[in-house]
Amino acid sequence: MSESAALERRYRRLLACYPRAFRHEHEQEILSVLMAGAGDGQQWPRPGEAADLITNAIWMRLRPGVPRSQPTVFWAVRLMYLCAALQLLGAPVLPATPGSNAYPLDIGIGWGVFALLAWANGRGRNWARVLFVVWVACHTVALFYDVAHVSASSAPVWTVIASVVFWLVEFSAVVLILSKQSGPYYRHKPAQS
Amino acid sequence: MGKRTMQEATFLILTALAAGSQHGYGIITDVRAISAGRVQMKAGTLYSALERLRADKLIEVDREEIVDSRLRRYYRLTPAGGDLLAAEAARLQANAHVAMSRLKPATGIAT
Repeated sequence: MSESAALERRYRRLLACYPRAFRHEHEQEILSVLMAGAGDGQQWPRPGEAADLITNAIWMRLRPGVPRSQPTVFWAVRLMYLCAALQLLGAPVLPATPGSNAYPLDIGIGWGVFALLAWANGRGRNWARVLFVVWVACHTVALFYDVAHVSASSAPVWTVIASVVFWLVEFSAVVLILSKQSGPYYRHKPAQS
Repeated sequence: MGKRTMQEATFLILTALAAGSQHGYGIITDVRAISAGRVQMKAGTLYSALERLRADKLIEVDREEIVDSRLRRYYRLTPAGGDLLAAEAARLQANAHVAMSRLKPATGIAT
């Protein structure tokens, strides 16, 4: 096998880290860029080059991936990630709060659901949009219940206020993903992973 | 992109495309020349940036060619990309002008 064929095979292995849709669109042109930049007799990707490809491939798989030309979905997905982050922030505090009915397992599941739905909404999955609306509807019912029983509960008032603020964040995300401008993003699935 | 400060890599890529369409390797070599060798952009970083700029409709594919059995895809600025680059260049120029005008009397640095 020639040196350039061996190098190309190794570059292809690195490019396999990228999402399939991205690879389908760009693999050949990235390969031509990599091969054009290779030195004479080079058989292995340079360490910096390999790290750069792997880092960008990981980022491409994990990033929200919504273009700014879709502002409603762009901000909705960020709000969903904010909800996931707030769940994590509450994890060490809420279960230890007297009168709170939050358990670490609930918070863990909540974080997982928000992170998954943010990821899937960012990729234009309509099921994720529907599921997020249902999820927030359930939270809305639970919040109404908490507010109605706040005087009978021993939970501190600040936990109810925090729940209302949290609900406002997730409800804003619902308004954004249900807006008219968001529709086309979910109908035309973006080319991601 | 809004009114956020543009990243240097984005600025250099848009600048490389300002004079006409270029393929990936052409952009890398041009960015190196524009930055006087300071910025050595790698393929992974370049294509992440190109993907983002295409999604934001600041650049678009101009044409494709096959050279030595390899695909070359040429990119060009969109009118929105040109406007954004012009605005960013004006902002940087204004900041640099203020900086140099303040440095001159204080340190005697000639511009």
